[in-house]
Amino acid sequence: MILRKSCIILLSLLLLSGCWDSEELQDLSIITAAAIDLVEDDKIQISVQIFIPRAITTGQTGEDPSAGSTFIREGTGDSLAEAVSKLQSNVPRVLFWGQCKIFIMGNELAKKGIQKEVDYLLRHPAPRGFSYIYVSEEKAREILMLVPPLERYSGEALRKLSTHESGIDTTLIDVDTHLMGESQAVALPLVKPLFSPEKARQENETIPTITGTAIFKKNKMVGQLNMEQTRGLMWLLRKIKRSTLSIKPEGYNEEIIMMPTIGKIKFKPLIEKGRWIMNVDLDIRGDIVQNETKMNLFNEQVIERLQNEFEAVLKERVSQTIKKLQHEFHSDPIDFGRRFHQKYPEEWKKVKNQWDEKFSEVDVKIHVDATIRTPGDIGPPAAFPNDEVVK
Amino acid sequence: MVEKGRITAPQTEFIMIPTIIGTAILSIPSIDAKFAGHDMWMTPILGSLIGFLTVYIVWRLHELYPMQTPIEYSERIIGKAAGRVFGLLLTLFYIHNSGIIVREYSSFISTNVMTDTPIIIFSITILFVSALAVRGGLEVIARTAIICTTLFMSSSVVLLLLIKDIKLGYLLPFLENGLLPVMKGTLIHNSWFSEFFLLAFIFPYINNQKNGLKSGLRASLIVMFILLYVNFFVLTAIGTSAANLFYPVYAIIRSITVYNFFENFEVLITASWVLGNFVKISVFLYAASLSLAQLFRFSSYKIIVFPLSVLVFIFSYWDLPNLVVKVNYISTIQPFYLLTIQTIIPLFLLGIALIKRKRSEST
Repeated sequence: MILRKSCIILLSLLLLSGCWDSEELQDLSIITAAAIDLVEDDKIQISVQIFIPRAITTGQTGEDPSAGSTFIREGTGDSLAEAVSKLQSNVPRVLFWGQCKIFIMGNELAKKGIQKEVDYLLRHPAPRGFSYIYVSEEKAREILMLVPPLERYSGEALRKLSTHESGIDTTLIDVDTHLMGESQAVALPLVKPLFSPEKARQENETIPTITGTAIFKKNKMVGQLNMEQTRGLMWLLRKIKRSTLSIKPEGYNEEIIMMPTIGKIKFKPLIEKGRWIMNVDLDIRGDIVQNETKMNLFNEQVIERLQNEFEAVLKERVSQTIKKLQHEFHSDPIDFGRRFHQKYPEEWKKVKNQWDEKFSEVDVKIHVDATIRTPGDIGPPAAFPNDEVVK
Repeated sequence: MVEKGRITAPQTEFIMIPTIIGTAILSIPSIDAKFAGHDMWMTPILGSLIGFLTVYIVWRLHELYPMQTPIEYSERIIGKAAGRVFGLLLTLFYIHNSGIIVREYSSFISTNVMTDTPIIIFSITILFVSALAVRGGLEVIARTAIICTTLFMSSSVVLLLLIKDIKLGYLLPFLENGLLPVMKGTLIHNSWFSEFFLLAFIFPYINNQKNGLKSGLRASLIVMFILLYVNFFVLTAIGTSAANLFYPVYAIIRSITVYNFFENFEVLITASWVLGNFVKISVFLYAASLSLAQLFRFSSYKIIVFPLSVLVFIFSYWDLPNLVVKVNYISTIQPFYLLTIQTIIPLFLLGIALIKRKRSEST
């Protein structure tokens, strides 16, 4: 009996004392963001932003708070995996990927193709499948070097921009699903350091900002959309929240600006006599936030007229984006392919292999229904003599 | 009587649910997505039919030969020699299958959670705890199952946090390539649902016999709903790219974030899956030990539990060299292997038993 008990105690001592994978916090280097670039001789360079835990408690230790709470290390190799292992030898602590939710691809790499790198990120168990991916307008590494004035590090600034829907947000899994899916195309946000004219306390003190969209086809970047077209794309991807819509009413040189609050979009694919038609129905509601004209918005006819003009503007904006995708990039990140496949599985099988060509031929019909909920808090133009207001 | 413990009918449900789901949640969704694609959500419904059928076969056999396990009644149905061959087959089958389950569990933990720890550590530890539970007898398994199953099942609520991220569009097109892909996916589910044959080793020891069938069928229904729920979330969260991942359920749970604050739910889920797999391995080890003991007319099965776990460990180590072989085994061999031994042969046994019964009544 005593023997048995001591055996059990001995076994528990062996088994409960911990395991091979125990990693203490002081032995980890926590990665907050990573940038992947193509450098000379087609080598891959990975730069990671590593969090310095002691920097948060600067108050007591008397360190300079503006020194930043992160530092950057890099590794270079023929493949991403090799680059990461080189990187590990440049960092004394074990790399910890669990908190890394930002991956930035360099411009050169995006043009060459990101498939091999995405494979590593999805295959290796440590990086998270649902981290956000970006494409940098220049070298991706430069984004990491920025020191944001408000956030603790540039990765966090980027993540907040993405969650607030200032641009599109695409995760690693999204990239995988889209590039293996029907259209084999995906849209990634394009980032670049924000130029701030104020005199910064130090070099690089600014945040990264989203300046457009990189359009990928079969894992290569084939083109870029500017911010205006990106807004059109965001409508198509159902991600609009924070962008204003402005019109110049007929006969005026000034603008009236609306802030959409609710936006809905419906796609209705249709194949009629061999013609592929995509009906895009947009339903948008919003409030007027600025009126530069002399029009009195406290007037039903004016509101009616403005609604029509907003409809025309939004239609133009969305159709421009679609045109660009159809005729310039021949790439379908807006999932028309999937929608046709879902409704017309038989017809889809025939065009599956030539979807690029077929996508350009799809007839897109956009119908917009805009409603102005309120003209804002005031009706007539503010700070303006009442008798000069156009009724 | 080799087993002296008695359990209640609801306890059998607590035992059986993790016994099916434990590894199903790890292995099925990925293979299902590969076979059935957009229609993977409906495969558990068709798959569960085998579950209901197996429970019914086991129950009828139990009614004809109460207080006996398949090892004992197979001898009375098909004769001494053939019955003992079937008994040996069943014993080896459960030893082999326990090995595969231990391997499935350990390779999941070692590829996802603790990558540096040798895989045998997980096999040894889970087998050791399970063996202790089995030595305690069926009552101990039942009581631990109540705690483990409750925790295991309640953790699946976490998937509901994905509701804001799912895309119902992934459910379309409906039945794109006809029923054949769905049937292939169903076959995978069938192999898991046929494991309800394990009830044959539990039914003889239930207190209130008349509730046995009802709780068996209810367990099958609950398992179907859980698998339906899991498959639905896997499909709507990541679409058919689930086929590329070995552990899609784990992947979607990793993706859950609530207000960028509540994250890393996979830690919770992994812990609860360990509990579920503990119940599963205990039940399989129990079935293997009980049938071996009855086959060789031992007075107690407790003495052979530890030697048998060593054998199970060896099977777990040798049989499946890596994940690719495992997936291949599950998608090609396992459905036929498990269905034959756990559903089709018992169906024949039941047929013969019924004919025998009728003859003896008429004479």
